[in-house]
Amino acid sequence: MKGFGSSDVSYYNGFHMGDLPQKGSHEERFLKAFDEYADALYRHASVRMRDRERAVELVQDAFTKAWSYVRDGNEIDSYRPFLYKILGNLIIDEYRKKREESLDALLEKDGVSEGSFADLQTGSLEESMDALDAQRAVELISQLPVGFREVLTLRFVDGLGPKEIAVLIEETENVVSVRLHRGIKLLKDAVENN
Amino acid sequence: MKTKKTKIEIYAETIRLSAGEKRDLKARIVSYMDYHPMMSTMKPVQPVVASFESFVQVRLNAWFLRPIAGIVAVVLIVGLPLAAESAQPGDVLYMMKVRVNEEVQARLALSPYEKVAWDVTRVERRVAEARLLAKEGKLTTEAETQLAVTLKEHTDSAAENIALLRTTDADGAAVAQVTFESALDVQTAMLETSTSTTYATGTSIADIAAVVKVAKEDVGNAADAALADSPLSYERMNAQIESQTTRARELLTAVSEIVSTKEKGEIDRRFEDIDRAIVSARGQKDEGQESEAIDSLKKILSDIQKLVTFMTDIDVRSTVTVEALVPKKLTADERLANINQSLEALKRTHNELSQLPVQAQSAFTQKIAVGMELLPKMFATIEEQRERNNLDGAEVGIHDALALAEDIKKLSILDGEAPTTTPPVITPSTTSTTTATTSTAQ
Repeated sequence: MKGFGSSDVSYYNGFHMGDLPQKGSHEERFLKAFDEYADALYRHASVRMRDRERAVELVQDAFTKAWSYVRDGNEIDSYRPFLYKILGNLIIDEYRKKREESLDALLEKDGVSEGSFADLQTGSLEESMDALDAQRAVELISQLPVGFREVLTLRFVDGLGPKEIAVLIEETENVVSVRLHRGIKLLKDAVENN
Repeated sequence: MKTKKTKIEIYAETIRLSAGEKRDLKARIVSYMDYHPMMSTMKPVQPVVASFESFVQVRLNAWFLRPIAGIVAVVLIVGLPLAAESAQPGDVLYMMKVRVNEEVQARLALSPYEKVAWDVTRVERRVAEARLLAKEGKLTTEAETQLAVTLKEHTDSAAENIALLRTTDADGAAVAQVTFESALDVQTAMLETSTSTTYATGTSIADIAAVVKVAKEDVGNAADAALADSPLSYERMNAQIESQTTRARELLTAVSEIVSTKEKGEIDRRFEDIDRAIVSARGQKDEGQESEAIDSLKKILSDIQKLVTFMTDIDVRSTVTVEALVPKKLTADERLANINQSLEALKRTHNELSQLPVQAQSAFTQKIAVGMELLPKMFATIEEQRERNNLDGAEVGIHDALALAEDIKKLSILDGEAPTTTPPVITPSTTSTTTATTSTAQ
């Protein structure tokens, strides 16, 4: 996954996910974004990392990086996807530090391929997830392979749709949907085996 | 269209930052924003138009304006800040000194550690100003309030910078905290000396002393709380002490010609105490008591920094003694000698008290008798602890026996006749012991 840059921002700026109105100073808008998204970002990091303290630190890093970007003179029309993008990159850096392997290798090992809709199971994703114990499922998400962990967290913890997830992780909607279905299957197996 | 929330999404919404975590996180981010402010944007230059009346406009020639603007700029940029540097609270330029000159210097400090160092310097400046004004009888209530407010701002800023540093470098924050607390200790000692001085105008610097005291407590409490979350590194503290000790010894060589022989002797003695304390801390580490060893190193670092301040700041040297800043640490032999001396004096006092005539009708006779019976038992306990090399216990015993002997002596005065010998005073701590003058006047 790439680091954030001006091209990313212009891309996200055209995508509406909880956009903030363009008024007030940079500082006001930034702090408003903190008030609105700090909890959601913490939730996202906490579920993916299973380390409460580290999750808080990563959220802080995400906001300081975002502020550095703003003070360099760049505009952020929509903070939410931008912050999710930075946080996602920071989490992936954490995985890399811990496992000392490239993410590509991890994804390959985890068996995350683009797949196709032919692989999809029947029934809606929401119905499948609602069949699981919520607390147990959230705990077990962090034990899934990283590729599945990311999409399941974005979909069922952060409430993003497949299209929004596809933009964030820079994959096609098709790939996101396949990962979601496979992730739910793995999660079901994990719930049943625990 | 937004679909219905799943059970997992509803459950996940319960995962959130606590109010305290969110507040602290926001404080750190706001602090980061303060130290990384937005770049100011350039505005297009407008033509110069001087308007004297609503219907009369005079266009000034640019050639005429340039030299005047240049002179004004030089005065504003160079002259005023220079003049402001010597301003005291209450002066017109004082706020420029504090809000402009010092703020500019604060912005030039890049790392949080440098910012803490600059905050320490600003605290020292404010205390020096307060003492100077008090000495000259110019410390009005307004000036003291102004000083107390700015002092509080500096101490708050230092605390924030230490907290910010702690998020990235816990060990560096601990060193910064020790530096800050040491500086506050020095300023407290100087203020205590000043507050005990009676100024002609009757002015007081108690508010300034109170701000410094509260700041030290706040920083200490915050550091204790942080320490519980992330223990410090013994090696990092040890390395810091090695570099600071080397620097302090170099300073001693440099200032040995300007300090008095007595002061040099006192400083030499503190270096010996520090060397012994370092060996003791190493022993604690080897025995697996790492947190105790780190606490010892923090105290050593604080002592070194106070010594450095004493050697380098003539104002400090002329106001307080080394003993007031870094009390002498007695060796085991010195403590034993003090215990023996105090015990012998107490025995002499007991002997003299026992030879006083008994007042049969006195209301205090029974109390005196009970005390006189108890004292020899206390002496025996002290001797037993001394034999077992329990110096702390023996010192506490001496302290208690001394208090009892003093009580008996007071009762004896009321009862009729007072003893003539006062035993040496010994404190139960290992920090300082003074021997009271033994009076034999009869």
